[in-house]
Amino acid sequence: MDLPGYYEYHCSVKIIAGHDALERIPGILRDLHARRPMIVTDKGVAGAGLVNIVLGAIKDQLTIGAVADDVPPDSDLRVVNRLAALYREQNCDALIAVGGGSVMDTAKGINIVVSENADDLMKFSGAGALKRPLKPLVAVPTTAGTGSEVTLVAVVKDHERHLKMAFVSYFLLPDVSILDSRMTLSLPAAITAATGMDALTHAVEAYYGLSKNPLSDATALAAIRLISGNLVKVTRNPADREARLAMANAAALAGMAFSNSMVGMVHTLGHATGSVCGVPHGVCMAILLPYGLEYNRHKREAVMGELLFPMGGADVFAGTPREQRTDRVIAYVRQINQDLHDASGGRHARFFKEVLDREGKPAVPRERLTDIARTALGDGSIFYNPEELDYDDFLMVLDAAWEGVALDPGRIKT
Amino acid sequence: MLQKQSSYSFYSPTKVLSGNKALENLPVELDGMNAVKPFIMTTPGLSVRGMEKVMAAAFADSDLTIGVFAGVPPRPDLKLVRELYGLYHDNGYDAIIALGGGPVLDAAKALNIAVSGRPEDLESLTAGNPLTKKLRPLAAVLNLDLSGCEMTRYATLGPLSLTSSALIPDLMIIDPRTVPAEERNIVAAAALMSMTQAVEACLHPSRNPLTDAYAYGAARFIMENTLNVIRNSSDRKGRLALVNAAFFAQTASDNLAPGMVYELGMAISRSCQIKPGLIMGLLLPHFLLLEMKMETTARNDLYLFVGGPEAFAGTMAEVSSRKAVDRIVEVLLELQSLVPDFPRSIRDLGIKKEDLEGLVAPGSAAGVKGEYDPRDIRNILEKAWETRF
Repeated sequence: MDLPGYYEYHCSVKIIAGHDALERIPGILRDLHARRPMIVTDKGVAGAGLVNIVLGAIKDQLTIGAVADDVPPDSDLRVVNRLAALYREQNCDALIAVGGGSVMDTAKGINIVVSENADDLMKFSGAGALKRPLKPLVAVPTTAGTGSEVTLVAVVKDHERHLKMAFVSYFLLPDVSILDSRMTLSLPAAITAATGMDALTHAVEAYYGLSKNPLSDATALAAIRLISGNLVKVTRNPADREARLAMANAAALAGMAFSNSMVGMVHTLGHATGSVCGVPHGVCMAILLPYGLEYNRHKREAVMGELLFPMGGADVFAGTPREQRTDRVIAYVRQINQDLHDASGGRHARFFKEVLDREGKPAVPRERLTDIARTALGDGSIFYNPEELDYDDFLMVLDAAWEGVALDPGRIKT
Repeated sequence: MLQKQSSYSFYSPTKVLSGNKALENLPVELDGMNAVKPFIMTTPGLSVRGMEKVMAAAFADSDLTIGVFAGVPPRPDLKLVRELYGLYHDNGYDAIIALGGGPVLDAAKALNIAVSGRPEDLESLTAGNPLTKKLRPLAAVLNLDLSGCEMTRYATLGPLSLTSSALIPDLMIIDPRTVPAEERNIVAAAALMSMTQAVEACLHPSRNPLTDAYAYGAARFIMENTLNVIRNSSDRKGRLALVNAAFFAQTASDNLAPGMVYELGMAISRSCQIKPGLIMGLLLPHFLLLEMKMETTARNDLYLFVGGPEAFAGTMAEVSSRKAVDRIVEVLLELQSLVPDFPRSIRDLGIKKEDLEGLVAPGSAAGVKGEYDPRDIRNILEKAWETRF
């Protein structure tokens, strides 16, 4: 195991996992001296009956101050301010965020407003602006992928001023994250597949990236092992509670890994594809991950080869000569995509040309790839990628990922 | 790694800063917690070795005002904490930096309880009342002279045992300048203590993916660095890896429960002058051999932790745990040949065979706290008493 010359690692979130972890919420909030939490969630989560499961687990042990179940997928400052006002009106003293990335970001934004009595959230944007603990925040993720239940960033948009404010602070980390298998049991196969590949990408990019450290390594390896053993299984059989819990664990572990070591070109291109074509993040991650491995392999061959152990298990690892391990790792990731494609009845896209929008039309027209490549140039995540990429490199990768063919090794920078 | 997926909780609030110029980043971290006037605590020994000067130099470019108390004794008590409480308040300090392991962190954790509330809160906590106030920022600047509970919920103050997750330091700094080369027995004791914590975490029935991840990191660093650090006093990176390993092992252990070997090592060390880590090293192989007899499938991956993926994958499953024990015994024997006065058995510590029974009774003053089968404890102690490695 390698020790870098310098590293930092931090994840102060208490993790509570299990098939009945939600039942621990009243005790947790009591320990945090909170009596009247507000639940923040969205219509989809509430409609799937998940808020009722949370309420059922809390029973009458706590008074719920308010349930705000209308966080939109594209939340913004107005929503944050409106819900902060509700929090105050109802005399709440803690937040329970039940949902995915947008709900978590909104809850973190509300927490800044109500804890700092902020009338202008902007004052607290950027790193280091928050200096003291906020109100207790309990995160209950309802997908197993983003890892936002263990990350310290919140992005809140201001649609009126066309601004995107990023808040970065350890005080934004949830106090507790609840990983309960019931929260993901009803997730459809294609979303299970894409969000699971998002988690796999976090772990793999963290492991071969330039600012890895022993703890990001250990958490990444654990996440990859859990995903390899459970993602295809749970996509085939969505009701598998053990596999659901394993994936919830994996997503949190991968979140710890990447938030302490950064990500690379797979995220760079994924962000750009998401913003140009509106493709869900997990879908982009699944398609691009094999290309991140191929493009960087000449810089990180040995490190990538180590991934065969958690992916393929001891026998495959031992039976594969060292110089062939990275090939096997890349083939393995492509095979997972294929298996997920089959298990989801073809809904899990393997290449960009397979991605469809809501109306069933191609979501990533080939002629948009140049726009995506241009957008990628402005994304900071490329800084931690092992090999450099310019516009032509981005376009080459996008072309291959659109078509679904391997990169031509002769065209990769050396 | 095979394991059962079950309910668990895991908590490690500490921010790690490890490596070159880590100390220089401490002022910014403290500022982020609204602290600008930290109180540095250390031992006379570390002060003589120039450690507080290293700290002061590292903070030279910051706006920190620091105060230093360099008189932490080997066994801090309530009287000391009351004295430091006065000092802390009179001078308006707002954070604590513990420079050095063991007693420094015991005293720092206790002081933190007192200054964050009232000194009476110390007795209140030992009486079972939980802490109600958020404690002041606490930074631990660790070296290799460790007690095994620096980064845990636990602190010992004379006869008082303090337990609260609020005691876990907020920050841990591992900087090459404050991790000097130590005598061989100190390094060996630290490594064997961490190894014991990591192995017992890996074999714990309630192990979870996070305790596994931390125990794995600890075991890998210990196996890859211990002998080299002892042989070669210029292996700075190896020393840092061993301090990292201690943190990982303590964190894994703290999220489960102290194991039998750890508790026995602590209990025996109270009756002799030998470092508990060395005693744990003598007990660990016997414990593992006993475990192997009761082996379940979930336990077959110990060799992954001890030997690494390459060795583990290249070994047949049925001999894998035997290999793990062999590797640990190899390291132990090598350490015994390198470290002067390393005892060869429990008997060498001056313990009489009839004294062993006092350690067996669960909950007895001399014995272990956890619930174990007394026959297992007796078995291990007798083997470690009779067998000379």
